[in-house]
Amino acid sequence: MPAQDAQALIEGLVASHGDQLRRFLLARVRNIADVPDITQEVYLRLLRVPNVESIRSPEAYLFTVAQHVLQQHTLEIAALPSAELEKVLHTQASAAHSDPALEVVAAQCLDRLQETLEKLSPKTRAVFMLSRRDGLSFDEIAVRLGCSRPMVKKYLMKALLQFRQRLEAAE
Amino acid sequence: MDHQVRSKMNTQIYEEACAWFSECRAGDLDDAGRREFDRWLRKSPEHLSSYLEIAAIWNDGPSLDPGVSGPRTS
Repeated sequence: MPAQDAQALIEGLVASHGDQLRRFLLARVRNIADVPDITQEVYLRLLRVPNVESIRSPEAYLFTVAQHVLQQHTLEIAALPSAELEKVLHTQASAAHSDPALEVVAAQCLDRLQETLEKLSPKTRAVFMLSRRDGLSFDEIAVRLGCSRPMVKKYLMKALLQFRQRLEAAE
Repeated sequence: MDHQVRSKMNTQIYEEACAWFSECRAGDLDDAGRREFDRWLRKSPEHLSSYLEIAAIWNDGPSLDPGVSGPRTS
């Protein structure tokens, strides 16, 4: 089939499903900085499809391809040597991006995290803020809050889990 | 897979991801612990992406407003 037909199909899909694809990826990656690259890869793969006319549902196909790219992306990360992997995991940049649609989703995400923060128990909230914002060690937090070090660990875990559950409920 | 089973499995992965994240923050992992963490991360794409999600939530932390409630300790 002529290349321009594939091009036209993809342009149509981008126009009609671009936002949906971004939300789909965002809900699964959560590292906003990666979404534009992955989106690009999805479109490039669609362009290489040999028989576009054989695809019955371009929408379903779009998301299948996205799923594959996503999986490969996480597998690529998973294949890194340990030291590299830890570096990737712990130095995730909250990179500035210029896509307004993504910024809206990111802002909604922040609103939900803010809501959750306000609902955390006082100690859970204090542990999260002292660790995250103030960079205090677990020993320092334990002394300040008058609880044991293992409890600090538990409170932080609880805070993270509640944030995550709130985001999941919104998906 | 049954939706409820999948959702329960996911919940467990997220609980483990939060526990590992907290361990890493605590700085308590020795070599054996780090190897165990590494193995856990590589169990499946879901394990890795759940950890990435928790790391992304952590990254958003400084943008949150702690408000007036809660113990001010300083």
